[in-house]
Amino acid sequence: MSRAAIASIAAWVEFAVLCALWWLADRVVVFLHWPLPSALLGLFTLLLLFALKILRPDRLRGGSALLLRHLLLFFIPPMMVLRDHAEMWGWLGVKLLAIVVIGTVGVMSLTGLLVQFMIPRVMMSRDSAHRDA
Amino acid sequence: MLDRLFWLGTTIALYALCRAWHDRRPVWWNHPQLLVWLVLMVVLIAGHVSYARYRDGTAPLVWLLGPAVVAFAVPIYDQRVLILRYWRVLAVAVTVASLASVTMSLGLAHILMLSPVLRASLVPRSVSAPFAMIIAGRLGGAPGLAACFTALSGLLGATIGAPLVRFWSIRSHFAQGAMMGMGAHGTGTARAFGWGVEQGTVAATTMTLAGLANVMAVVIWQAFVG
Repeated sequence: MSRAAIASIAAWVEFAVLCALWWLADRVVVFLHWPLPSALLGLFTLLLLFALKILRPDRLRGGSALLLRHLLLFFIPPMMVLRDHAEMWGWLGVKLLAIVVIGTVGVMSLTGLLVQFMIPRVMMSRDSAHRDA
Repeated sequence: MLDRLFWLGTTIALYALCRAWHDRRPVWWNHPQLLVWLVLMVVLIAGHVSYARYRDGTAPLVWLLGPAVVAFAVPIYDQRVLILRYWRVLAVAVTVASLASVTMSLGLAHILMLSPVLRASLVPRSVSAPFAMIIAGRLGGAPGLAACFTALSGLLGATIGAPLVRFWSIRSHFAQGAMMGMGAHGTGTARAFGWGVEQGTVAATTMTLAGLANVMAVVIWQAFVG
């Protein structure tokens, strides 16, 4: 078998492992009535396993990349809920659009300016790679 | 059963086609998030298919949002050096921007007299969809609507990113990445990687941290404040 084929099979196995991890975390959360979302319990557990060197991140890299590369496929279906909201194709939609536009311009401007203001103070000395272009 | 498989298959096939097209010739209107959604919407409306029927078939895809959030552990761990070195900037940026975003969304929603469900769905507008859907669900909003607002923010933010960078003269690569990750999530991160590896990496990290921080804020808020 070619190296690419093996890597692809490995990625699908890792994908299955990540699914199993989420399922386990979900069982724990349901069983113990924890307020933490199951996905976050899974994520934090995995981070802990990496930090304690019990598991190498390379072991799950392919599966993680596979899931994250196609992330938007997973939330296209819930976006179809707009099918049931005919009222949004009118004045209400314009209002919502306005909120999204103003909010996005505001958040991005604020973040850019704030970080640009803070960043030279954080890296006064070394690390010229991160200095302004 | 056949009906379910049909909608699942159609969604995946449309996505694969659109993704391949967008990867080869990227224009803003052939982004899978927009085009697949639009085509499916036309199909559902033309075929008189209800959302409930469509949702039944595509549930397995939505289920994968959980494992996808778990998968974020790998890129977070990979960026631990960047996160630890710049934790102060990242923490301030994520906190201030998140607070500003929620205030703007709620304030405008209040002025425009939107329903409580819409308000709750607008709250997580500025975080990546899988996190936004968790938040909207917990606040009594509609996760699907939250995904729509998030996706719209992402598409818009990725498009206006470059003009905003010029307008505010944002020269720092770190700042460019942070604004794309904070305001435009996945779509913005992809665009930021086009600008450079540093911008892309910072965008991805900011996006993930913002998602985590916002979900944790809601969990803690609900545990202690109610």
